[in-house]
Amino acid sequence: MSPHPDAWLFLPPEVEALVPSLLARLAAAGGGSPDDVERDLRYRIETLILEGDADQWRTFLREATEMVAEYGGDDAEARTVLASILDDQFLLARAVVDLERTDLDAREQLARAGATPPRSSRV
Amino acid sequence: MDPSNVATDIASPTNTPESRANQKPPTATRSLPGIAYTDPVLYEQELAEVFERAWILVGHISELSEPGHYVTANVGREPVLVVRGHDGELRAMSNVCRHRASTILEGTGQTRSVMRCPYHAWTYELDGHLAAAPSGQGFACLDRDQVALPQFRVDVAGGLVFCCIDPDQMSLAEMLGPVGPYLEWLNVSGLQVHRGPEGARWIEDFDENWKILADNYLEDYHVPVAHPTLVRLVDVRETIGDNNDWCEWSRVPYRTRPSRDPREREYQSLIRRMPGMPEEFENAMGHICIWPTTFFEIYPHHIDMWQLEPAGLQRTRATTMTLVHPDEGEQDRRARELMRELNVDIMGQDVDITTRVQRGVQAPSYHSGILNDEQEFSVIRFQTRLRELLPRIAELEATATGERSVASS
Repeated sequence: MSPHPDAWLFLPPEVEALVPSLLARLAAAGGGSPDDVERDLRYRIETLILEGDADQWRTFLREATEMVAEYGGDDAEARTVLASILDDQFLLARAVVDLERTDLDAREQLARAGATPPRSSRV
Repeated sequence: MDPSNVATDIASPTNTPESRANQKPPTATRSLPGIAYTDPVLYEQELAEVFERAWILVGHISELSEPGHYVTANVGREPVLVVRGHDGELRAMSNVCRHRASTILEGTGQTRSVMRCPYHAWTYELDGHLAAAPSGQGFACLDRDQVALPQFRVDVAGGLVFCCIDPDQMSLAEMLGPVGPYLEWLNVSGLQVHRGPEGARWIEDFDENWKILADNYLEDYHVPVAHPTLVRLVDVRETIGDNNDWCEWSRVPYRTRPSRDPREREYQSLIRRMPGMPEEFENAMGHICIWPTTFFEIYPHHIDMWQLEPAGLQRTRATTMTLVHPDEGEQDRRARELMRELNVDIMGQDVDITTRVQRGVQAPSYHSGILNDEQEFSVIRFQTRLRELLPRIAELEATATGERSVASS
């Protein structure tokens, strides 16, 4: 039986609560404005919640994973926590979508960035 | 509490996104054992030690404005009535006739100058004393001066009327803690009970133990999983609130951008504060939880009060009361009706969940679960009080076998 089209909406709340500020910390290392990054991310996540679907959510997760993977700064805590949160998203998403090769690649990137089981994801 | 401090206290809640991140205990918090939801001995203790010792909501002050106006309710196994006397006093008393134990009044309404039992017409004054009994000469010894309906405690907070049959229980104000001033701040006393086609109370029965329904209402961990409508309507990460050991309030902002769902979008377009509602509710909704099982959903345009009452080991009666502004306009009425439609869907989703839980707690393989310290915080508080009041739970936890689904935890 196919999941309800809204079924993926159990995924975003933790990301909405924690990811924008953490990604903003990574952006600061690259000279970006943390406030601008956080505001833009919040807007994008809320747009996905209000108008998006599971595939669009997965695209966002891959892009966030790229940011974590490419990060070369010193904020190891933010990188590790982000990697753990995003990896959890891929694990949970399997309940509503089939992971594709690109998702599995993303998980490998997150593992290299320090993704650990949920017990360590507390911030 | 000093009224001048109320605004400050409400503006500085203790439960904020920041504080929640720092309140985790060092060890895992476990839920009640599954057998606590099916044990008949515990159920009897719950009636006696939880419901018959608590302050139970019985009605709104607007329902008791004139002499003879009454409301009825159950406080555990005790049917009670609260009536406005000819002297203007509110009195709570047993709703059980001293003759053959029929209940005397039902529902809400206005009695005549006395209250008459429908069984043999024993007739009571509004202060509970027996006025007369038919065929009085037929009783070998009936001293009507010695017969009266037992009196209970009654108190009013923010326009809401509560009854307690335990003379030793703490005061209503103490039990409510921060919720008492919050009810005043919300102007609940200035509202009135909406009477729909079903009357002033909307009653539904559920085939689950009462604690399963209470647990479910008390946590928002399941909300994103079960209720997509709420994910689109409110931003739960901005929830703030305050609590004591027994009661709590919380407030969460609506999202300001439109949902793609047409019904939700129409609701969003109708949200507007009713007169008297604080400006903090300009674009927010809230919840109140009053020990043990009274729950409020506070919308800018009306308030729903939902009360659970055990009606058997696996049977729970839910009574809903809706409070509206006396001059409710067309826009607020439509917003209320639309939210009722959305809530019917949400309730159906919750029934699906709680039905599953009622089956699951009976599984021999299930002992108890690990609770989320942030998003199941209120369940932890609620179950901590139950463990304190009900020694049977410790007995059940000592005898329950360990869970088999997790090797170690």
